[in-house]
Amino acid sequence: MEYSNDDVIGAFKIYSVLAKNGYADKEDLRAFLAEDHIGALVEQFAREVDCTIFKSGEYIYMIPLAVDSPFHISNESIKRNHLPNRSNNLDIYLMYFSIIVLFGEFYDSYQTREATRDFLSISSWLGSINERIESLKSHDPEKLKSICKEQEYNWVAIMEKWEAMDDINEKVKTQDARTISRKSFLTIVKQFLSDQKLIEEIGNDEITLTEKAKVIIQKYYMEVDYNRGILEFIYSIEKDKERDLDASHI
Amino acid sequence: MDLSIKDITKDYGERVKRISLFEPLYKLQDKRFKDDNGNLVDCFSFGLITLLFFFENMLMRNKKNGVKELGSFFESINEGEVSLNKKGFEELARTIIEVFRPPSGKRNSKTFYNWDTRRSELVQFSILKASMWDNESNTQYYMLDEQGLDLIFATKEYFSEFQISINQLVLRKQLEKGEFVGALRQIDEMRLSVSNLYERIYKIKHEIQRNIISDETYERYKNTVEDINLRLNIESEEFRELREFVRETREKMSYEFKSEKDRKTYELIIQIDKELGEVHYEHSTLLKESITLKTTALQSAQESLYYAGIESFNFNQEVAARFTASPLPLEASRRIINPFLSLEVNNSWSPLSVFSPQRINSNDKNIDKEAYFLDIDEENIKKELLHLKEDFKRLMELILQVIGDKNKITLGEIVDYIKDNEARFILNNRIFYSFYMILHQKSPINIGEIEEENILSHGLELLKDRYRTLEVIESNTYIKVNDKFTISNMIIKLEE
Repeated sequence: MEYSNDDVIGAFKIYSVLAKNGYADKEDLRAFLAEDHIGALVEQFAREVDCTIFKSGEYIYMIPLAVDSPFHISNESIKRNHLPNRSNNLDIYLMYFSIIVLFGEFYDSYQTREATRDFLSISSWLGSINERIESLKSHDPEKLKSICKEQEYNWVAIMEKWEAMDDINEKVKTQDARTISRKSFLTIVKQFLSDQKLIEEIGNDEITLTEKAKVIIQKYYMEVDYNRGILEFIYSIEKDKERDLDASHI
Repeated sequence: MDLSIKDITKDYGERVKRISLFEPLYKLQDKRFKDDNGNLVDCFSFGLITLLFFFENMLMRNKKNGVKELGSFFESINEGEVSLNKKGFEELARTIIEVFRPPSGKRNSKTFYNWDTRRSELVQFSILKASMWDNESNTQYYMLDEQGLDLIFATKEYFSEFQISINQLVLRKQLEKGEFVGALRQIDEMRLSVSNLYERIYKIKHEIQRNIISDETYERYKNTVEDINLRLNIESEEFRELREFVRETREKMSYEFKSEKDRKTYELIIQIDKELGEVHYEHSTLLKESITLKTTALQSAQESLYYAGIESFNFNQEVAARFTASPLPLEASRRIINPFLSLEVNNSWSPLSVFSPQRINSNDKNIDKEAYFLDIDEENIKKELLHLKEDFKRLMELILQVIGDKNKITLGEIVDYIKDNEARFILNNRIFYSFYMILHQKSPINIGEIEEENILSHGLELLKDRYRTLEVIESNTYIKVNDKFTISNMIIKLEE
């Protein structure tokens, strides 16, 4: 299909807003909806950088696909902008892990698409992470070490890092990012998530999901194809591992 | 006899939902909360009182209600019924709030087998919700959530859907009978129902946007939306009639103005007219909202043409649990949460930005307006001035203290006095020196004739009763007060 120069520029305008903020509102939405081919162009642009577009109510969201892509934010920039100095990849992975646990706490039902809770307190969050880390102990440490590509950053290291921290640092009054404790680590993750506009604080050490987060969960993770993609990705790793393990017996 | 099963099981889910509303109250009944004498406290009734307390406060548009407020309300309503102290009542308040709003964040819920749809379903309800919080004291305040209000209304034998219509009916009756005070309260209740409805529409709107994934769900939501729309239309019509009625009453009243009582009634009517107008306005924005809701639903249905969702996805089981159970390699975590993250943004900086307007104020103050250098607004000037006046007053007190019964004193003596009395900090402050320079400048001052307010007036106020004039004469010697300040010596004279 041939596009006029105006269309391309119009589409690019919307795309650049999306690239900057991750979402665009009414004004852009109108142009997006009014002309089908502009919308289609924007979607093509997004595909090029491994993203997908969702319209939800008054907003358009550009959401990175769950694939490895050089266009997505790099671990380096996350470290630089959101984590304290001297953080390493281990901190990043621990953060990702905490985030997965967090969303799991909100969406844990087979009976409904909606979240099953209104809010989550930081201490329950901490509790669930503790539980999960605890469950790792049942695995053979050597096996845990071997499943990660980057040998330096593996589950054993995560476990050790987590175990080395107290739940809270009793010597200080506020558990902020400067103190070393599990709770202050979660404070950093919390800050990161609010910067990404995924959660909101509602006081009393409780957090709640934003509309954006809900849209991502319910539109991306619950979309048939994307959902299959994610599950297949998980299966495939599990399969690989089993094969490796089988092979080792030979 | 043939019984229609369909008719019997119709709205089964809805009914279970209504019944389950009461569950938190019964949960409270089973609580074994003991007072100081070891007697069990009737948590059930305190629970109901809690609901009423929040309801009344919402009517009064009183938003700051937390554990403390509820506790002290219990204390005042108690009058010896149970023996608890302030702390105990707060404990009780906390217990009750935690039942209505579980601290885990998990909503109160109930799973049941729905005989209508023939599958097991889940109802969730939330009685209380956090309304706001005080960042400084980290106190959370609460208000009734949708089902909390339902519960309150359910105790008065009607349901929230018809709340506004019933309010309107009652209001009309009250107006006809001339019960204007009651009518005002009715309007307040109505306002609450309207804002509750607003929240509900807002919630439904988001639900629609996220959840319409098939024709079936669209149909379901379409019915809900149409219901809402229809009801709002009827209510709006009734509002118009009510307002007409109030206006007529008001006009009638304005002709027969006989006594003080008539005047009061008239004022009430005016207030009713005003408040009713406000509620009506809010209600009509709702109507508008419900129309956009219709388009939203349609739009979402359209979007769903290209979108195929799954019925449910247990993120916890499918992703989080698997992650550690298998376990997956750490790197996989990144890929899984990718959709939540953003794109890489390159920061570029143009040298030309040196010439663009710069912000001078610090970032943490969140001031939106552009601040200019040395920009002081009216408010701050006033505040500064007041501080200055008070400082001068204190310095004047100091003079009076040192001068005692004499009527003459040198600045040197005052400085010595300050040094002796371990108040050196005064001498490190510029204000001390400015004060004497200003006094010298204005000298001689006729205390009796202080015309207008000036920076000295608070200080001179002190002298008014005892002295007539104040004179400051500069002498030739200098006092080196400390490393920072040197000032010429002065003689201060107070005359009666």
